[in-house]
Amino acid sequence: MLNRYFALLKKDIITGVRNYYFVVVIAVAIIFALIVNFLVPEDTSIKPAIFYHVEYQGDMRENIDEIIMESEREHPNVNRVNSREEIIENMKKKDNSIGMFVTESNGKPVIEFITQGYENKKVINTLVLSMKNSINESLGRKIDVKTNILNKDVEMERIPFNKSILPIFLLTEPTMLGFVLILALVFMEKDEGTIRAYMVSPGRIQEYLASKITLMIILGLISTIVCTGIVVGFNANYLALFGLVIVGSIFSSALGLIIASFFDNLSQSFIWVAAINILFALPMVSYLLPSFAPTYIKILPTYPLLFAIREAVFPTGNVEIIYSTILTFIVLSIMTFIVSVFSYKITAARD
Amino acid sequence: MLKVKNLYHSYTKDDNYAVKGISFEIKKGEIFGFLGPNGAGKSTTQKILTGLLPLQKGEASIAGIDVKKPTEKLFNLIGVSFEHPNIYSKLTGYENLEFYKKLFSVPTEDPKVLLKMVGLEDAVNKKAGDYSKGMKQRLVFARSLINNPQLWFLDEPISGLDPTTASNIKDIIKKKKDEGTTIFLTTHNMHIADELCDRVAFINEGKIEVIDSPRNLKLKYGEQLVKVEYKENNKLKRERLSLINDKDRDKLNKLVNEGKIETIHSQEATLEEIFIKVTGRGLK
Amino acid sequence: MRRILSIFKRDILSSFRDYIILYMIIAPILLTIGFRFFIPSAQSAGLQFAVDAKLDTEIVNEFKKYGDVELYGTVDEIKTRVENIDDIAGITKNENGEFVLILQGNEAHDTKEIPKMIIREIISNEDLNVEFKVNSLGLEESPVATIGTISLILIAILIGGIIIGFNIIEEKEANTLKALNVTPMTKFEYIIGKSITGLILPIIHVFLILWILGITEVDNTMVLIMTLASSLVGIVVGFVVGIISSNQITGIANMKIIFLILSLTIIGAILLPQSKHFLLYWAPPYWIFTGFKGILLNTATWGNLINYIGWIIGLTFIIYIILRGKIKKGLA
Repeated sequence: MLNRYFALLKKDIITGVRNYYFVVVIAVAIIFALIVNFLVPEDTSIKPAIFYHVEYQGDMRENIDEIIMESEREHPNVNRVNSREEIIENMKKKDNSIGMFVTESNGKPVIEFITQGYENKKVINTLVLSMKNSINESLGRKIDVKTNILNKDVEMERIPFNKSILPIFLLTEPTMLGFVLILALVFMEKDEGTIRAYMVSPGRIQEYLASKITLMIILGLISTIVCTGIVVGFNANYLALFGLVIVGSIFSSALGLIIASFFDNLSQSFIWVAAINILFALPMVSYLLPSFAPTYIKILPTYPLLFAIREAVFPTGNVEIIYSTILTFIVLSIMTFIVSVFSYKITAARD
Repeated sequence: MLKVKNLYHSYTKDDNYAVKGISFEIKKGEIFGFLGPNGAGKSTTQKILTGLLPLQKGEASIAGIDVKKPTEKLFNLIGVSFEHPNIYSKLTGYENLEFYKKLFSVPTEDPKVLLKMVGLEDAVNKKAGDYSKGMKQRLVFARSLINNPQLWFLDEPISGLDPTTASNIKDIIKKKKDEGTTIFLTTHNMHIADELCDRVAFINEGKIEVIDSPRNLKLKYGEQLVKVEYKENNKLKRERLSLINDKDRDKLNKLVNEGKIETIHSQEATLEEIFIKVTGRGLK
Repeated sequence: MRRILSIFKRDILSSFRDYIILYMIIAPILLTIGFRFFIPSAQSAGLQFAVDAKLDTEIVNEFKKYGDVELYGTVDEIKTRVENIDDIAGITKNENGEFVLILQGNEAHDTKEIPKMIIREIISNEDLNVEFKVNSLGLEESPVATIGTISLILIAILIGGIIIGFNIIEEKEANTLKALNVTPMTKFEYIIGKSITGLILPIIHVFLILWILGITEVDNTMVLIMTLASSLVGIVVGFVVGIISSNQITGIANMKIIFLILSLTIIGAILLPQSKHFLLYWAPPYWIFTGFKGILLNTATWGNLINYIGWIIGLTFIIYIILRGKIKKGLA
């Protein structure tokens, strides 16, 4: 049993090496890491840019200037322009931007927010609210709000934007890698007919599939080590990360095997591969916008996985999410593996 | 060694059977030829026996093991040489066999010895994907011997091979038979069947029409003819004379006595002719 | 011409047998429909609040002005909810009637600060002597929608290329390419014949995508011309993948690298400040992205468009020249 598994694994690794799988996986990880480290600016933001012009010269001018300076410090994309027209001109060029124009009317400041038009009411309300709040604060009217932080240990360090996309890469590349690669491997063997030669040997389907999944885990771990190593060095919780990548790989490659069992080549299965890939990629939106978490995203298994990977890469002490995710995926992996074995028993021998 | 009783198979899982109630037995150490045209049900039967297709209806057992529930033990007993070469193209010939060898839990052959036996000793470390068609076929043939199978399934083992290689392969088959291997040979090539098989089954449209030794079949179905060439009035004449027909026999006697015969050949019916006679259709 | 058409016909036929063409036609459309449902929920996304149900309706309504409110009966329920993965702020009052904000600790800045501002707004009684006005430019497409639409268009364009690539690999594997090479057909005819799929489908798709998403106020001629130019990229990608890959498995490996480059250029075009965009000039997908963005936002002039298309065709031509030898050899 184990002998056969290792024989299969050796064969699969040789096949992987001779098809440049290892080279490609390592190259992709290095390219990604280098781009993150050297090309993506740390202060990249998906928040809208602001264009402003202040015409108002009254008593509160100082307070307004102070507020603007404060936000210029926090927010990289605040730009002063010379007139309301210029605000509009700039905004038209950049659809992810808002404008602020301050004038005077009856002696009091009039703050006009210029929006693009697609922003929802709540966002606009929040905009006005935070401006009001800032003015109140600068006038010395500060009210403290009691805050109960449930997990005091969980203190999130500010992660630079460029590094914060590493978990997304770790999800799509090492973890979901197996999903497509394993399909290619299986289709190649179907095409060669070698799967039939295997079926008339004492080797069983479980060993055959397990060996392929193992290859995907190995590739996934290599990719993880290379890109995580370059991007964050030794700061990550590697043990947890490996655990997550391993269970994630088993799940995704077993899923790939199920798909592969129903088709004979990549072109036929293409639509399913694309659809599942896109579905599993949706939690990235929630990752970038953490308060956007509709139920149809939360029920995807990649949703907790992505956040657990983040916890492993940038540890904040919230180990619970790692354990629970690994546990969930162990269950999922066992289930998908069993289904894949069955779907092969039914379809593999068929011509 | 192999027992098959009332075997049925339908790909569509209805009454549209590709194999319709086949029964036969193969004794240990026998070469059994399974003959029929393409689409007759040969491959289907072989696939069921090797576990590639589920056994739907009927009974089959190999060395007492039920084929319906194939066990590891069963696969350790059998070797299968496929008609269409199926090998790992990214692995070398040696790696292909070395890999396959490790799948078995019975004593296995040395890959190098097998490769040499089929004349691939110079291509041991070449990727199998770069082999010629004949080389791939020989590699598959060698692979099927790796576990010293007790029951050896051969599917068109020499089709497409050059005469020297084909003759070499036939010698290996004969040698294995002498060593006691039971061989199930599927083919539509009547010459190899005639040359190698102890018994043959004619299969047509999913049914076995007849099972017997090639010799018996010829005696039973073939008319015994003699082809003679003789000179008469300085002209060469050819004639086929029956050994059963009295008139023909008299004529032959007369020709022999007169000493006019230039050549004389006994003219047995070929298996191919017998097949046509039995099934009413050709083999191609 | 007859031979070109017969290549085209073969591709279509073989695709139909595997339902591939059906998939190819349907896939981008399904994605677009899915996206159409996704946009509103993404666009209305704001903050989330887990509010104590015992609080006054007025207070709850105040929070509703700034985000989605979920009501919970007990403080413990609020805490459980806050501890979920997504960012949500819990709001309740303590026994002294003071507001208490419940946070997990790892929330983004806005989820931590905005609820405080809302609470201040509720309890503050001082009047602010400032007037606020909000005016809009009337743009309805959000950046998410625009980027999404362009991504769908890119997918549609690339699918044509992918199919070309895998058709070539299939012909290589089945050795039918050799059979074609001994006919009077020239390599050029073969290439053109293969490319028709990659040209026609994207046009149909792009207009369908725009129609499904209700984007009507764009210059259709611009869309057509931009699509045609972009299809060239898809076709070249398809040929390159088909030629350098000896089988499906290496095809996948090569496709991966090409897709990585592609998605990185798009992500780069979205995230990088304008001043760093020159880093992406070498990549044709960057120009496709920029071109379609201009068209969708109605900011592109014909001058811009000619510039973008010039880059696309120029770069594609350079890639073709570099790989010309390989393509000829690969098809032999």
